[in-house]
Amino acid sequence: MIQHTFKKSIAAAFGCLAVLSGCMKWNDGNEETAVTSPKEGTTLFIACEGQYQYGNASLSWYDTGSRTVENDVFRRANGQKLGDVAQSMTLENGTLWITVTNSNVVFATDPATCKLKGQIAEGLSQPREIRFISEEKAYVSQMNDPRIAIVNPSTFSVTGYIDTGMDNADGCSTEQMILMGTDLIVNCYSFQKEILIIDTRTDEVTGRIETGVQPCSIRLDKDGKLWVLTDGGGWSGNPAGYEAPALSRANLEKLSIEKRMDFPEGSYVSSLQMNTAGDSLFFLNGGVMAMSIYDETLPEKAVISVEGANFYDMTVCPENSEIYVSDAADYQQAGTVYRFSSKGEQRDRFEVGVCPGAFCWY
Amino acid sequence: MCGIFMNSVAAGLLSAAMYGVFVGAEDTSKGGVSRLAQMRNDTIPEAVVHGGRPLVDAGIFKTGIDSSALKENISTSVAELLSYNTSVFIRQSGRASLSTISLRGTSPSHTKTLWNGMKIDSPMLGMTDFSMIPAFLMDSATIFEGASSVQETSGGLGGAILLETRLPENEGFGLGYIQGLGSWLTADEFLKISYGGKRFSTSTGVILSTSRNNFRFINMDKKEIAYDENMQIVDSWHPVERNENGEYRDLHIMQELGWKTGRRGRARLSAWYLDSWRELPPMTVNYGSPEDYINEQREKTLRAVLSWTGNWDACHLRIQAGWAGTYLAYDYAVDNGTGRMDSMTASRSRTGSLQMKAEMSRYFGDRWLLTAMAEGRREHIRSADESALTADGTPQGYDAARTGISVAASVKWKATDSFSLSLTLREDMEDKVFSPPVPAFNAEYLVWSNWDFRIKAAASLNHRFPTLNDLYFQPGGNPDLRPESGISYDIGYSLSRTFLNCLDIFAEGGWSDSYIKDWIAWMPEGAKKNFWTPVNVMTVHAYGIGQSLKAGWTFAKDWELGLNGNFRWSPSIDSSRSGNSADKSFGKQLPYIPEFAASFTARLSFREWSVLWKWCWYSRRFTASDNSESVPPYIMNDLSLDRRIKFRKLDLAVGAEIRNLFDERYVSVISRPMPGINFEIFLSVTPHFSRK
Repeated sequence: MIQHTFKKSIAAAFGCLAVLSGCMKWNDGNEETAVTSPKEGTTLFIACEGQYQYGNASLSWYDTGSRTVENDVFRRANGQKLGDVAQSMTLENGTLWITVTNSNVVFATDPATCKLKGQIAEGLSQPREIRFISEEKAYVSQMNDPRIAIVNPSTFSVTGYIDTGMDNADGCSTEQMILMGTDLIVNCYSFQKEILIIDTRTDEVTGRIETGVQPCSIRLDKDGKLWVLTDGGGWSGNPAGYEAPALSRANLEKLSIEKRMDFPEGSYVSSLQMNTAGDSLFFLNGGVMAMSIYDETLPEKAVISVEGANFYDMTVCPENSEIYVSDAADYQQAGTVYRFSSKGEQRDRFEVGVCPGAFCWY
Repeated sequence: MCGIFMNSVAAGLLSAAMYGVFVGAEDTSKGGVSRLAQMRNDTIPEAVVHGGRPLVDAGIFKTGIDSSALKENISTSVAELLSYNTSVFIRQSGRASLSTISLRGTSPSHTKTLWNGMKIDSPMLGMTDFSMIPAFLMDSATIFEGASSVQETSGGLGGAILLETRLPENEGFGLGYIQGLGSWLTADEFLKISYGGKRFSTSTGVILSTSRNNFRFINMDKKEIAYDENMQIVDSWHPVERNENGEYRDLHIMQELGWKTGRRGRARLSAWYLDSWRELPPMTVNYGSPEDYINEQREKTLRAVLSWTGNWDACHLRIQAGWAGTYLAYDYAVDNGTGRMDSMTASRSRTGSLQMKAEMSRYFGDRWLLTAMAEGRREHIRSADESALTADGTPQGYDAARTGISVAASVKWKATDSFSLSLTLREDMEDKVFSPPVPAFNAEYLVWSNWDFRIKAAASLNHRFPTLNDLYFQPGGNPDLRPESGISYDIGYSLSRTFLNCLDIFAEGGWSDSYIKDWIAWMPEGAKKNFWTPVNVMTVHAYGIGQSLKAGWTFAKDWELGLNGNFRWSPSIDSSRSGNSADKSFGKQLPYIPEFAASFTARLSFREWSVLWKWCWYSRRFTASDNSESVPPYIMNDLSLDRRIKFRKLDLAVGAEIRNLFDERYVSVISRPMPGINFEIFLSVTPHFSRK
């Protein structure tokens, strides 16, 4: 009798087990058909890096008119993750290109639906940014690789490389790229201190400008001068050296730095931006700093600051010069984006994904 | 769909197997107990122990792992052992990958690990990789929870795990060999040679584990794309991929030597050598090709403890000296396009830790026990990334050493036959920085002797000094860190009872509550945003309820059933406000600490047969500090079947284990795949030698 009851109990237990084992439900892998569509002209895309080695990068968009935000739209539209460390976005010919550094991939998406149009994966090493030369040619800057990849966007394939001549022994990276006529201007960041000029007709490096340690951000002003933000290396053991961060102005014709303004040692500066007119600079140094390209000294006071905030990246609206600044908080939670008027008045704030680190206007 | 089919098949096979076992029981029961593990190592059969408790355990909250679980099979690591036999959470970055513990809602560095009395946490990282410890080599594993860890060691804000190896208990020669073969070209081998004499005994154990470890999985995080001739997407699908770059080879050699020194003394040398090579698999979201990079780690570690113990009628003395030296290499290199691998990281760390310890305990009558302990440590680390040279041409890294001293004394008093009290006072010093005195208080009251029903309480202050990496790592080390400090309380019960001489039950449970101040976390901070740095950033309130139940039931002739269930509810809450209105982590569960965890094992033995079912469940683990993202809960089932065959000259045993029985898709850590259903078979040979 005891054995009979026992056997029943065991059978029931295994029955429960079978049910329980089916309780693990994943909500990934499914595409959502009802993702609201971004509107052209009023949309700001935000690429959220996610946490390094978590693979939880995400894409958000914000409608500046209706003040609505949609998060994690890439995964929802495509049923797959965006990847690990979404680094930058470029809008070109109706396609939104997203580089995902630690996933070694560049995604091409339809900005109206966030649906995937294609991907470049083979032949890339930690892509940082994509810049278009023509419909059939683009450059992809890379990290831990001294080469810039040449890709054919129409076939989603790598067609060649530009050797930058950097020594990769300590690590290296090419980062932001600006097209000026037939020349491409590139900053070399990790453990480097150079700006490269590349002739896009021959795919060869034709000029170099030595900058301060680790140029992290570059922008071109209306006078054709290149503004370079260097972070100084961050710590005394940096193979490239360690110095005060600086904002410099480079003369692209003479291939030299013609003006340098140092920040106090220990400052952390990032995210150099230029307004549409090309005469005002913005960057982060605790708060949002602003200055004219003709100022002789660095600004001392932030035009925008929020108590306790941990500003991570920013963008200036090309239409109305509104300033959008992201706050990464502790780098392991949903970030916040603040929207300010050009005069620094807060107009909105909204939550996005983890570590919002890149913006793109649509 | 495939998963459902596999579930059904597995469930059907299981039911059939169980049915066969039960039907067979009615016809063939004869007597004897069968357990592969017992035969393999002459271990003590799983049993529920109850009755009078030694004074040294008065009011102590600890969980001992059954010896049968330790000796279950040679491929089980302590990480898996803890997952299935306790309610602690083990964070596994993949199969045979870094596995760290979260005990009572704390971080891995808050659990201290000791082997034969010597700390074996990495002085560099402050934590232990439990995937590197084969359970089979250990003879005892005990978890001291929260405040109860203070009597064993300092810094265990979550608790401490004590692992022990032992000398052979029987006289004569012993020999055992086990071969395991499993999925993905997994091979596990174990050889043990032992001799026990009147004055001298020795034991040598070797485990070698190798595996391609390239299991298949459907990568739901990625899609592959098919284009038409106009490069328009015509199809996409989640690819079936392999866990590439996941190969490993681990070698462990464990040597025990013991000899009697006079009538009351015994000297002992324990040495444990580890040589490990492990590739590190990519994340599920990596589109790169494994041929384009090297990502691997190598470790060589030697731990040795020389000890002498003396036992007098009421006095016990142990003096020991221990050494732990580790060479750890991590390499990450990428193909620069020419076929040459450029080294991005070539981290080389050499750590040495010398520990001297003396412990004495003395009974005064049968009601007082005094213990005293003094320990000195010297830790030295040379850590450098040889791929990255600083501006002056030297590798990035640090060379640092520190000296630590700990002293502790405790008094335990059995006030009445039912009531015992214990007070421990500990003081630690690291590099001339003294911790505040660490008191721990324990009490126990026997409420009902028929059920051995006791209530227990414990309280302590505790602290943890930063690791040497926290202080000196380049870049990012922060020499200004403060030690973490904590206060914790426990109250609980335990009971045990035997019914009708055939059913033993043991249960214990309790409430725990702790606050940890100055919690250290690595993050970009202040002007150091382009690298991570440790900061005293949080206050954490960790509390919860734990419950465990063990039962042993001889329900029919030759039939034995052993059950072990554990459950824990452990909120671990960020209680600090950062001052940033965008920070939503206040009041939220800490990342990677499940709020609920449970495990269950059932071992059914019939004569020479034994079936073991293991089950564990973890609730979702948040991956974001504001709890906005998480990885799903998971349930895991393993099933094993052992058969022992006795011959006159030797014992044979065969066993088979099915892991992830229902082929569940799960992860312990986000974007790190875990294997589906997999198998391993074992063959054990134990020759008989004449034994006294």
